Amino acid sequence: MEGSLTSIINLIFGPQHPALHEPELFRFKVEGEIVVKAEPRIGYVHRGIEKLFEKNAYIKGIYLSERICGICNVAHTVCYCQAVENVMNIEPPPRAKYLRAVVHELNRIHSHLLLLGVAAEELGFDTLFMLIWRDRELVMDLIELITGNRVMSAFNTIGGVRRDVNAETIEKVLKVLPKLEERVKYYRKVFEEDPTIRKRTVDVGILPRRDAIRYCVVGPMARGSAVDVDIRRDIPYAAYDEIPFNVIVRDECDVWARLMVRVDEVLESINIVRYALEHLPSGQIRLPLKRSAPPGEAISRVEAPRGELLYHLVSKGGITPYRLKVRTPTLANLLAASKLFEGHTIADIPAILVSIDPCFACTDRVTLVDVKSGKSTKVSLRELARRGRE
Amino acid sequence: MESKLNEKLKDFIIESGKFKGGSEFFKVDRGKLRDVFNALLREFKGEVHVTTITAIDRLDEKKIELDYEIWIYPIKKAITIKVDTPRDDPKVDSIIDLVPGALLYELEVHDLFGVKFIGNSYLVKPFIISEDLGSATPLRKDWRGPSRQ
Repeated sequence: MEGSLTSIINLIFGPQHPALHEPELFRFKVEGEIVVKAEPRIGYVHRGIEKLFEKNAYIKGIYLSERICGICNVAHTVCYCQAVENVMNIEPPPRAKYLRAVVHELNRIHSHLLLLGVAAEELGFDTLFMLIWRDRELVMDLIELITGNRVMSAFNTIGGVRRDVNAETIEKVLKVLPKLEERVKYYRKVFEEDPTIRKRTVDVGILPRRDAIRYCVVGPMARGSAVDVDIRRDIPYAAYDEIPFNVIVRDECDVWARLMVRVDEVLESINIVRYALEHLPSGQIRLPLKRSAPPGEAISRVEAPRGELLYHLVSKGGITPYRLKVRTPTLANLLAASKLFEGHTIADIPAILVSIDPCFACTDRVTLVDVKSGKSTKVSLRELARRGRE
Repeated sequence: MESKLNEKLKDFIIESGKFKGGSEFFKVDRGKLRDVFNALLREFKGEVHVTTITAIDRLDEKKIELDYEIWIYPIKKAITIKVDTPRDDPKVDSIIDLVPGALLYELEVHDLFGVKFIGNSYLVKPFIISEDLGSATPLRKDWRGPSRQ
């Protein structure tokens, strides 16, 4: 222990785990228990998907975009389809726009509940983790009910959506929402009042508003740092220009604020789903599919669960894109995230990491390297979390 | 506020227009890129967000186009600043000292297209792509995978 107080240790976090779809490596320079510097290393699963888009027809691109991120797959297909529709000069029918908003919000609820559960586990509150994930199943069932699929929804298509809902389905969904709302309100109370959660999260991983803007962060991470931005309101898409909702912004700028933003966003999403289903326009759900696009360029932005997602599509005519750029929100948040660890203890690393809601949160391997002796020790994320609880 | 944007950019704009779907773009000379960002940051008190840098390999025109996708907080407006750089010697001034959040995007474009960002001392290769691809620039249109080279 005495030696560790006087030497800098490299603590390598990540990158590989079979369960991960977005591995990540952080190299932490640690002095004693305090993180001095954190350096991210990305690219472990760079699959060349942008290049693949250029080789595949627009219709195949829907399924490709869906596989960029399993958790927020709906955000990707909404964003992709909007970009293609803009280039093809297609306006989806109003019913399709409402249904897109419904599934998009259900996807957000499941993603946020997933993260809140993981956060509870990392903070040492395993019961809360299990309860949140149990109630997340309610949403997964609703997604399956509406889209026919539990995870990869395959719901959106160019010109609309692939499945309609009938009165019976709407009734079933509206029946489940109050139960879900009641549970999330309870979890809100737990996150707001539980002394253990507050102790592990309040004033930890502070990202001041100014830095949030300088480092160009997005989504709940920005809104937890008093940056009032939400693509659903600022550049409305789908049916968001017709659905009333509040943008959740907090000014505490810490891990707790970022978690609370997500809890409140789940409640807002429940209201959005309810409103959209109660005001669902009648009519068709999609337009006939066009296979080719005229020359042109379009930018599509959506508010994915982790923040702003952008697709930039360039067409030179034909059935494949000339170029499709995808900017996912985790990349935008990565740089600021690496600054958050500085000055905090090793035990705070899991709490700060989950507050970013990265796709690579379940990286569960840590290697401790003593630069003086060259010896390395592997520690699991669970062990790291346990140290934080003690 | 929005008229201030057009006023500030008018001295730099070579071409302007709208993408399909509505958002505006402004093409500027690559030598003026930092001046554009300085003007925007001054006007909007630093509240300028770089969403990403999209590189497009315009093979026929022998140039690489860089699209800086920007969000301006005070006026809640998204715009794109376009600059062109020649394919055979792609260089453009870095903006990471003005907007630190652009760092990863400059690294990404450097890695995938081989564009050099003058003033960015963090440029490394490979950054995202696999190490066995070495100095390849796989998102360029004339790049063929290792098996076909």
